[in-house]
Amino acid sequence: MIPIVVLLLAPSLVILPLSVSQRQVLAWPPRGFTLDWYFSLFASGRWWDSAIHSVEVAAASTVIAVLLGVPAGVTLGLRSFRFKDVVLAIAVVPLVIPTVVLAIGMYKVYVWLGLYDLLGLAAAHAMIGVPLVVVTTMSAARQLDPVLILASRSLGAGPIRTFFLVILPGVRSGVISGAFFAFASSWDEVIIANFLSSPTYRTIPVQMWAQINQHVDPTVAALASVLFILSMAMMAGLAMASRRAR
Amino acid sequence: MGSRFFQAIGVWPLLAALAILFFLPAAVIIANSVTEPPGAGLSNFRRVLADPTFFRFAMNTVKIAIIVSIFTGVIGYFYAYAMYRAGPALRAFLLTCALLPLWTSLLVRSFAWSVILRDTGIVNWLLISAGVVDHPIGMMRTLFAVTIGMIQILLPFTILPAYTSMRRFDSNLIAAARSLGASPRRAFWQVFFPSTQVGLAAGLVLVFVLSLGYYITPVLLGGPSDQPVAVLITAQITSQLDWGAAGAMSAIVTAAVLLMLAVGWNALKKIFLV
Amino acid sequence: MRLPAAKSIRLSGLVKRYDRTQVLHGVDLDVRAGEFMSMLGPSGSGKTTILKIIAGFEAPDSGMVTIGDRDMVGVAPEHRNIGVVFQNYSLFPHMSVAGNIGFPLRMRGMPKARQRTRIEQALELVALPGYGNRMPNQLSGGQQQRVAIARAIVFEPDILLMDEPLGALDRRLREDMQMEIKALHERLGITIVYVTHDQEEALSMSDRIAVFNRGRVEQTGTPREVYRQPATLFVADFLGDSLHVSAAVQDDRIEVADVVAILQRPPAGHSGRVRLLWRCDEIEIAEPVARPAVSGGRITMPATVLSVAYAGTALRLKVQLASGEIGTVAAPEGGRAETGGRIGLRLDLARATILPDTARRGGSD
Repeated sequence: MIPIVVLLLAPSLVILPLSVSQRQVLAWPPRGFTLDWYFSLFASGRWWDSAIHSVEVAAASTVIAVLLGVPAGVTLGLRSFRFKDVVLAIAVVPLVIPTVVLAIGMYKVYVWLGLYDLLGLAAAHAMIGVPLVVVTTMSAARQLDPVLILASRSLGAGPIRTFFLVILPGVRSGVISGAFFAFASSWDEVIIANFLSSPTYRTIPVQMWAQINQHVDPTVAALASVLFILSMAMMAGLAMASRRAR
Repeated sequence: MGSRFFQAIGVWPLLAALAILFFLPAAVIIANSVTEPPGAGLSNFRRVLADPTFFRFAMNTVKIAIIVSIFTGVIGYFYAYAMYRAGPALRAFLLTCALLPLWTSLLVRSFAWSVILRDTGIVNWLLISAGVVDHPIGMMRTLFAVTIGMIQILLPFTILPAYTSMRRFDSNLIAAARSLGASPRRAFWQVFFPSTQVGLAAGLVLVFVLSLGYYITPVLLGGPSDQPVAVLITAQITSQLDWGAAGAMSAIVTAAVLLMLAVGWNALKKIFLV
Repeated sequence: MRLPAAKSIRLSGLVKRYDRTQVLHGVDLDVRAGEFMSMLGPSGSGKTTILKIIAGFEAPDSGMVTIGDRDMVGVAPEHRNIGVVFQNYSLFPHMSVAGNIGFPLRMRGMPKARQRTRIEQALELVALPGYGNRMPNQLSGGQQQRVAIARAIVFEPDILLMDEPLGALDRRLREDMQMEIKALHERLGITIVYVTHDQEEALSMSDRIAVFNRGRVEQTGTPREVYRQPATLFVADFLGDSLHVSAAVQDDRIEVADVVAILQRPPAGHSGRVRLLWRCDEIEIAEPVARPAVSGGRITMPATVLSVAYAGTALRLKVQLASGEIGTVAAPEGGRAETGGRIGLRLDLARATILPDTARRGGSD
């Protein structure tokens, strides 16, 4: 077991010490202690710009994914209708189609539709994130007692009020985790973002990808550490949010 | 209640959005295979399939996908079983260790592996310090680097489905098997494993399908001879401007992915869509 | 709190099929205003489907539902003003008790202050005053079901439907709740349709019972009528233990197990093969006899005891007649019956229920 745990954690554990090493190259063992790499990272306007772009894109795509994914997930979880399996397959296929294929296709179509930078990235990432929202919402809806909906109707609430007052609160935990997953998948996405963004609208992963391919210095390790800590925060945030939702 | 027509109204906006923003782009790139250059017909497919370069990249893709699937399958099932048998505290720790990579950026993890495996990285340092080798062994830009990076990155995708199927397993069945005279080993192989192999299957399909499209990790960790089709496709677009070949290759990869997805659909549905 | 005016329900010719299985074969049923009507039957007999049709959750393929004098076809559930209590309580888990009970009032746009008064009244009615701020998961099963009842009556519905409301409770609590629901019915005067598969519950609570089997109403009547004068073998078997034997009737002559007796009151409408049925407490245990004998309107038959079960106040004997027919007989506690023993059964022809000799029609699917 221990080797597997080491394998799972190795990348995260190695990058932190190197980000505070005084050495100019990323070499083990780390030497001394310095926060210079973090200072230079946070002093850079380029990184701040890309951080803002990443947050914009991730937030916008999450909102779109939730708006599209929640009604679909609820419908798939609670209703039965013809071609349901087909709809389900269509809804999850974006998760597995190679991003490279998508990226070049989107590059062609989105430019033609006038979608690039924020709009294009938000739309593209929403398509990648929406299956996650559909799946989590659907499994929450499956666990919802369908009789609650009948109860609500018999007590005088029509379909729309029933959706907002009974179903939505009932699938809240699924929606929250789906939204977190969608946000994280956009936050991390490189390939599509690379194709759809102009040099003036780079997200963090695009910027980092460019940096790694040009010149690796410990600033990248500092950035990787920051991203790692942010992902831990997201994971903890989801754990807390879903505990409260329950 | 309500007309049949409106039963599935909730999925319409999603389907409309997917049609324009997802399926149209995918269809356009795949359509390029027969429309670029105009009147290409199936010539791009003939060209690509006869091309030794494509064959090499395709073999790389399949080789990596198979190696990664086997390792993540075995390790993931074993890890899930350890989680299943562990006490609550250890289980929570193991679950966190399995989830952490999932949340950590793929780019960050691939980059971290390049730092670990380079000549001045921690692995070579440990080997030299322990006196196992005199000079760093070159691990970067090898098939080994690509596969170990992808195994770590994809491991959660076999651990979690396997663990899901184990949690659903009725542990009374093991007690029943034991009371009927089965040894622990036979109870495991004849009762436990058959009931939980759907989780293993779902994980394997997922890992195989996802590794077919991997791009970032091979580029960062692999050498020129370890690159998959995804890399070749981008090269067709960015340096050759050969949209026809890129389309044909995309069509082939997408078909492979959908075929695998269809093969594993039942297992995936049982694990993730219940 | 007394509800305005109780309403009657009239179901006529209800037919419903799901895919290929037909679950209702033309059901007619009248429930009088203010009546406590139980729908009793095994699972799959169609009783819950009827309830769903009355509530508007399902539409019948054909047939009519009239409540009071209002035709309900095509009316959405939220516009029917019907209270429904479900088996698993179905309280909204994210709302407090007061939130749950206030839900139908909110839907009807009642001012907040009046809502509060009504919620408190309803809580008092179900003996849970001051519980408004609790969450459903902080309540026991019995308390949750009381809240569900309060929620179903707080908006003064025209009728109250209850779908096996006590099915999830243990026996002791179930009996207490039966009394409370009965008391509530008397206090509110509301029309109640109560679905159950528990014949004791139906017998003890109802004004009338409709017994369902395979999508049809087999019999409607008071608890006493359906128990003592079952119309069919199915009703007889479903409502309790009995012994029934094959017989042939011609005018006032009846032939049972090779002996012939004269009936004092010739059975109307029966001739040819019939079945004679006695409830298990209507049979007397006698000394063993060698062969069937008739005297004074009673037949004594030899029987073998197959098994003896202790049932609290009496013994339940499973007995087999010489003809091979098997039935159940009650015997006083401390009787001499033992498994494998031979006994005589004294059957009073005047107390027998005469039923058409149909093949036994089972109920579950």
